[in-house]
Amino acid sequence: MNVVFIVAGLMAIAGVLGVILAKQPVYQVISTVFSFLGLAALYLSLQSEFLAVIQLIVYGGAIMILFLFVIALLSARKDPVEKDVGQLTRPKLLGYSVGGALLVMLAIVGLFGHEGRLDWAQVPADFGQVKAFGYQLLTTNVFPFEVLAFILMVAVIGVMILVGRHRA
Amino acid sequence: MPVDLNFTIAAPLLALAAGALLILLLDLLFKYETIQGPMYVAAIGAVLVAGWYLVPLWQGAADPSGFAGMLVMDRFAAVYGGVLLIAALLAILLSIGRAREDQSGYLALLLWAAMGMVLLGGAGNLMVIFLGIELLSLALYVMIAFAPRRMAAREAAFKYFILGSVAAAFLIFGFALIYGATGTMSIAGIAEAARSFTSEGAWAVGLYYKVGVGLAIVGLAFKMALVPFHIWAPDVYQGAPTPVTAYMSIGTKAAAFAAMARLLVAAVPEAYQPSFLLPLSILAFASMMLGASAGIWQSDLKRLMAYSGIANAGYLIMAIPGLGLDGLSAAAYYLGAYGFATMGIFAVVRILEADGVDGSQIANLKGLFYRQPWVGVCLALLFFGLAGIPPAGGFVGKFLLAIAAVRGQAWIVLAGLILSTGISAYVYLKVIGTAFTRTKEAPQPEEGAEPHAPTRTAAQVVLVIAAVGTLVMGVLPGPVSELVRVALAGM
Repeated sequence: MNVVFIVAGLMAIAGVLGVILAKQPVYQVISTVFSFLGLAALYLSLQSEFLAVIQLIVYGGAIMILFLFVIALLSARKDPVEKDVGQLTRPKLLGYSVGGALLVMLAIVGLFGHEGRLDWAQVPADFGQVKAFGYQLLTTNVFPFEVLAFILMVAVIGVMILVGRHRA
Repeated sequence: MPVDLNFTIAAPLLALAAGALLILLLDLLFKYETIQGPMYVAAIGAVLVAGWYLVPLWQGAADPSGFAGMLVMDRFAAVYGGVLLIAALLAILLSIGRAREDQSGYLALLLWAAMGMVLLGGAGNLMVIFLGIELLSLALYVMIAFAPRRMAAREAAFKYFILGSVAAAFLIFGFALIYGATGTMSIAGIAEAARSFTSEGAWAVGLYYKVGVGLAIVGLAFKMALVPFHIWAPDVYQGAPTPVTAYMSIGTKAAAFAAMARLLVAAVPEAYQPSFLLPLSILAFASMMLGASAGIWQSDLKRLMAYSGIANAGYLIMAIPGLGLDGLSAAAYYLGAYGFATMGIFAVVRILEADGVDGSQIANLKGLFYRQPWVGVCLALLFFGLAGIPPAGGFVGKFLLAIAAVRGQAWIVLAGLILSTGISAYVYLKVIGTAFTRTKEAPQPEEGAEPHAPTRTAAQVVLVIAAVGTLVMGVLPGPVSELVRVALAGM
């Protein structure tokens, strides 16, 4: 465990906690960006330079700016959207307990799961580089790549339906 | 390495995708009022063409694997694809008559969801499983909300979306751990790696692998609505438009089950299946009991069908412990029988809705037999099918599943089947009893709702197809089950 891992990991966790705990949507988005920065640093420390750059440009940049625009358009006001948070005590407790159980389980896997794990030596030498990534994307993984195109198409058509294009 | 293209096996998927694009194009090029009929013809045609391309795969393609092992359209995929395409076809027929809404987008989404479902049956890679789940889920999220001016539909879609996203997170985390343990995303590669985990002659898997498979099962169990991942089901079934409820109740379940079977056949060596899959059997038992007994208190037919779907997801898991030919062919048979019965019951709801009546209220079924005798008889037959009473197909399906469970020595699920069938028979017979109760007053149409003849005709066609299908699967189980068995034997 090196310093980069610890700092970047703490940054990602702090960002995610901010998403849950912040009251205003804008702060939540900023926390998400913060957490994405941490994730990008983690990717860098795992030799995935390309993924790190994509994480910053696409997620940290484009998508989060889009989120900010949506929030600015929809709820440019100070009070939170949820009026009656008090009703949600039971679901909240349930959510905390399920999330806590999951956290404990994953912590156990991460700390004690050494024996059933892939050896790092098996990772290819050009792992994470743009050239290898692009080559894999359009040869071995061309089928999932094309299926993804349809998922994006579903999203586009779906938005059109949801905004309600009425025809009489 | 050249790109490994195999369009013979991708043809059914391409037919569905092309059909959806054609429908969108028709909407763009022609006047909306004149093009609605041709759009439905195109949708039905796309499903039929996809089925046509499935036939050679059913007989066993020369090379069922393509795209570097990403897509494996073997006989297993063809059999489940057949079930899914029938469901899609009946759902399209049930959707006829949504005149005021944006039908081109709806039909395109329906076809893309079918594409995702067929894709799940033929997934050869964890990535493809995830993409299939996303394709069908995203399309369904929107289709559920596809009822303007009905807040219940929007609420249902939102609930399904949030919980579905959490389930997808579980799924992908599980896949990541499996990848960490085996070093491959390919299902064939996982099968190979899983059988190499031995120490002193016994099967020994690490924590990574166990937790990975467990999380992946959780993600798929959510789509199948197994207890305790069923919480979304009643609200979503009730809120969604009737054709969408019918489609998702059979389609999502069959597709998620196919993916789960494919993953588990690879991930767990045969000899260790009963013990490794014990937690899943317990989930199945809980699903059967809760699904059957919660139905007792329902006054809404769609909610009742949701709980019935939960119980039926449990029955399907009976095929898992043995994971042999018996189990998988029994599950395919049962899915067919369950699909016909469910589709038919939702067709009855749709017939009532065509007259402007809220068909999902069980109270509105009262006296149905005396108003529309043959609809009442069909309804009784279909509920017999769900309960597993001869001469309906559900009986044979449950029988085959019970045999598979005995061979797999899955006594927990077998006990669950017997207990829950008794309880659910009571629930279903109560509904049949309501339909056969004599009453003077007809149910009142909702305000502003007008009778719509094409909707009624289309729903009646679906009802007849479903009733005949249920009857054939119940009276002549031999040919159908033999067809499925022979098809799967070459897997």
